[in-house]
Amino acid sequence: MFLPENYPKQLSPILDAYGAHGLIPDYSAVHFFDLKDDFEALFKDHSVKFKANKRVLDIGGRSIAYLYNSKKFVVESYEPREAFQKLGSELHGDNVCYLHDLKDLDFNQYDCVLINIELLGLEGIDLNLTTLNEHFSSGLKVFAYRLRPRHKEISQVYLLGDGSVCDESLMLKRFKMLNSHIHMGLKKYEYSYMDVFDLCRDY
Amino acid sequence: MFYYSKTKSDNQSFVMDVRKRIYNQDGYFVFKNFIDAEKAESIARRWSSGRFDYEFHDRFANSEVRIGHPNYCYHRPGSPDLSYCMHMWNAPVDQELHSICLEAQSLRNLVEGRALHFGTQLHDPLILQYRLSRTLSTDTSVFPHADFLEEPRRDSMGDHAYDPRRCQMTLMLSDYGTHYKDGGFFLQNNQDKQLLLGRDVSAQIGDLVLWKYSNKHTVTGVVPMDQDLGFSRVIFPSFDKEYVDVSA
Repeated sequence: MFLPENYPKQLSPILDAYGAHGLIPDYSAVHFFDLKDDFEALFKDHSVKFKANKRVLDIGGRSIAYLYNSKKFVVESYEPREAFQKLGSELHGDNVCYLHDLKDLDFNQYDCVLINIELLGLEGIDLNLTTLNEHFSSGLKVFAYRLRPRHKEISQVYLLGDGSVCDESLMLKRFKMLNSHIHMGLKKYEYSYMDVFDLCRDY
Repeated sequence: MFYYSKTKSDNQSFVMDVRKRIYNQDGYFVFKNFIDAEKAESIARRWSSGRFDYEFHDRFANSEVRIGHPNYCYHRPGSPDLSYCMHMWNAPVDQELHSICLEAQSLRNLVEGRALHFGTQLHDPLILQYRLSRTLSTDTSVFPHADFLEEPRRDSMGDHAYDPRRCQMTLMLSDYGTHYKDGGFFLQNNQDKQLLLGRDVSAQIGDLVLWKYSNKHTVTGVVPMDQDLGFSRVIFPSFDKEYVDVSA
């Protein structure tokens, strides 16, 4: 895909991959490497201590930017949206393994859990997601994140890049369930292209 | 044309195929017979006749346009050339053309993954203008450029940050080889090859061509064969609400 001169050339095949899977090369796609930087900053800022084989559980990760070109991570991902799953497989190959559901997961095997809360706004998603926090143990790094759109959404219900419909009020209702273990105020961190919520049970 | 209940299920795989063609393969997609050829020619002829009892304002620069401004007309590159620019905030001059343009906008919205009527309401971040143009001059009327590729702009309709999602449309109101020849609308495809609509791409009168806005394009070299129609088409620019809404 044609890029402005000041954009990294490696972005072109990534945007091509979005198009090849019928997805829109949207704002988050254009800022793929900026999101990678944001995730890396998140890991650094919050001292995520990865074990030797850096295991991450990624829920609704879309293209899992931080994984790109990195041999360091072993990612298990739950992404029910077929087109995003295919995109992730193309961009990250064997470094990511897709899960069919979130049942019977042993959270202790992960160093970090990342949850894209956009998934909570979709109807028909696995409702186990909203009670996942029952399984979070002390010490496990868990973050929910939200990608920032180019234009702030003016509606409560809006379309996402694969044509799925996101219901903001449903998202917030489910997110409340997901963070119901936090009793001392939810911490929010703003990065350049995403907002992050700390769901760690560390107090 | 599209019922919203069908948008996600029946149409979604078609829409994804169109996206593949535009964003990954060709850089454009032709919706054949978007309107009948006879209908397209009838619209082009009534607009080229100048018989409307409607006063178009003199040209506004893109950067001067504000919500509430009247529709305007300009003649570029020469006096026989016409561009009628019509805003969403004004009553339609031609209800038939207006309806067709709204239908086209819905189609673009489906491909760009936006709400079906995005751009047609004043609270939308981007607000549609449709522009019926007739080119009879051989001179260049649109110099080669790409939009939303962060090229410097002298007269902008809004933010020109890189945005490969954006598509532009050309509704063909005349036929290459019948009404004009030699030049017209040239588009760079995704393989960096310049194509002339009507000659290198099968795009005939009544067809709607949806193309990737950030691919380089130009309008030049038109030799009219029909002195009323020449190269006639409708294009669909959008203005950033932030730029045109001074009350915001």
